[in-house]
Amino acid sequence: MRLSFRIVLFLNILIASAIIIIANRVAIQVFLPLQIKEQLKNELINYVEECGQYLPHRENFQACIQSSESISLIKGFTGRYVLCSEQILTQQNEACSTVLNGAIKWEAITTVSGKLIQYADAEISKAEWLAANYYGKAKERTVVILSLEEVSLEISRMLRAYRDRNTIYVLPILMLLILLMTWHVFNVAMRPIKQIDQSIKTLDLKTFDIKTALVAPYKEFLTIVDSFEALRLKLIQSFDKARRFASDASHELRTPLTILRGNAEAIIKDLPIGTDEQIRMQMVINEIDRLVTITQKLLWLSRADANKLQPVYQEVNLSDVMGQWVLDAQTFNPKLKLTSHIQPKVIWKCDADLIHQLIGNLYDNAVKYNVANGWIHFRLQQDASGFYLSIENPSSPLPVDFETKAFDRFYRADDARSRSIDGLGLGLSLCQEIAAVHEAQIQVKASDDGIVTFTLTNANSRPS
Amino acid sequence: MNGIKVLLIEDEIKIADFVSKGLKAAGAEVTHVTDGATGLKVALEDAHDILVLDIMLPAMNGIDLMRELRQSGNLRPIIILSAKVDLEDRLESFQKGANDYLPKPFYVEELIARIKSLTRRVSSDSSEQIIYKNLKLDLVSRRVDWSGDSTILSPREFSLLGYLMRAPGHIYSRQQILKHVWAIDFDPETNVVDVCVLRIKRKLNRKNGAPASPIESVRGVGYRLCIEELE
Repeated sequence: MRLSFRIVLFLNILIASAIIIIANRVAIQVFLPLQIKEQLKNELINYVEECGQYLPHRENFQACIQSSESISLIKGFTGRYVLCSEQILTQQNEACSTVLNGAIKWEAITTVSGKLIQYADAEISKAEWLAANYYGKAKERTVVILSLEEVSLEISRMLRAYRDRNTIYVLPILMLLILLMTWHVFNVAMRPIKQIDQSIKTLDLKTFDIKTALVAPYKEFLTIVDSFEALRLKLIQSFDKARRFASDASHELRTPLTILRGNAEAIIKDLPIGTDEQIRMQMVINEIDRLVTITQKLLWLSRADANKLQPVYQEVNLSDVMGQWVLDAQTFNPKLKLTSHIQPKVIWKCDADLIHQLIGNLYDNAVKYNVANGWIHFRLQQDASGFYLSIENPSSPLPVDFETKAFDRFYRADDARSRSIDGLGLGLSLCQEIAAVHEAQIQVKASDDGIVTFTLTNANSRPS
Repeated sequence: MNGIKVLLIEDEIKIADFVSKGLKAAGAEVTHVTDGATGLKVALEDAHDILVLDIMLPAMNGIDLMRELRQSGNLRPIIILSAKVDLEDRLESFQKGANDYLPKPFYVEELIARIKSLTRRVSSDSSEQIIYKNLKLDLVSRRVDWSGDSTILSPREFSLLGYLMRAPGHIYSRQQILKHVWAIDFDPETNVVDVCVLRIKRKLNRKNGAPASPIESVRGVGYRLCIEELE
């Protein structure tokens, strides 16, 4: 079982999304406190400037902040300031005494209105505080301090609470989005691949050398298309070689075969009639003839492979051709029961010799693979869509792959029995080539009760 | 075939050998040449009755030779022998002036039969009848006259007898007969040839006084038209 590319893609997008989300959270974790601190600092300075006049009175100061128009973080945390005044020594804590008396490094910051505010970012007993100085009219000093940690923690807690609550609702939507994204990305990614696949599918043995080159839909696919084209060229070359070899071989064999047969014929003539030598020489001739037949079939096949099986079309009365075969079959094989159902006047535009060869091969096959005292049924009928020609016979047990392999070259259903059959299993494959060049379909069907039917039809749709 | 002058142009000596032998045995006079250029020269100089020509020849190929010959006004019949069996090759040969085309491998008897037919065609003999001694075949009516008796044969029987008559005395194998008469090149694993011969024999063997049969079976080899029995 192969993994689905969709699932792999989905998992990858899921992982990528998770990484993005986590990275985002980490970034927030790092940058948020810094931003909060910066924000708080600015707000603190602004409010001290704006509302400093009310200091050190806490209520007035807070009221001033609350009545300010600007939106700020500090508004939410007014209860958390500590006001450290030199006059009022209530609410004092350790931090207060440190900022009031301790060695704090103050920074003078000019506000928008041009006033100088002393600001400090101080670490007091391992906690970070923000502090701003304010001097009243009587030069009395008040320091507003704010624990950064406390505020920061508060804000972070709030954010986290919102974020986590949202996650529950967002997660399924996120998954759905990722699914949709996967589906979309998959389709987009597969489109050019499908396009290439379609082009490759139109190729077959007959067309791959005449077919125009594949075109890469996007530049990223240039390499795959180039590799395929290179492979195709290599295949064309080696296929050509193989084809030429078969064609050359069958041509080259003709001369020695001619010499062999010519001399054997001459010897037969010279030998006294009826002698064993003469009979043996006839056997030699018979074998030479068989070689000649095989050579011829190989040549036909190689020509079919090269698209050079050029039929000479003429109107052929198939009914007559079949009728003659039935008559001949009766004299050829009197032990077989021959039946036929031949519709008269079925005319087909075809090559008479090739069709004779085709039907002959089918008939030969029906005889060779028949059972003892068996039968052959010839059938030819025609309807609006075309004709239907079949030869049917009971057969000795056939291998399971018979239907798929019957037309393969050199295929033999039964090695032991068919050793004597001419043509080395080339006959049926030649039938297929002949049918193909006539744009007809040849099929074989082996039923469970051992009946083999070869059919030839010229209809585009397969008749039932 | 007596006295027919054949010019054989074939570069393959081994083929030429048995062809010459066969033709000579049939009574022809054979001149053998191994290349195209010499072949053309000989063909133009000497008066032969027929040319038997290979296509792939050194010096000048058969097709060119034929064209030259035809252009010079020489119209003697030409039979092409060739290992090329494609339709285009045949058509080209016929276009360039060949009268017949015999693909390799061929039977010498087949060649002889075609030479006979071509030389006869030239001497304007009737082609409606085949006559050998007292055996006469009418090609139109499929009637056989045999020592004065006549009978009608079935198409296959007639074709078989006609085939044997192409070369009286020559033994034709069953395979050869099957291929010629039934046009099949596989072995139907039956004695159909023997059955057919038997039927011919029966049809020709009815009358008293007539010779036994014009067809002789040669054990283990095939059949031939027997020359001895025919007067």
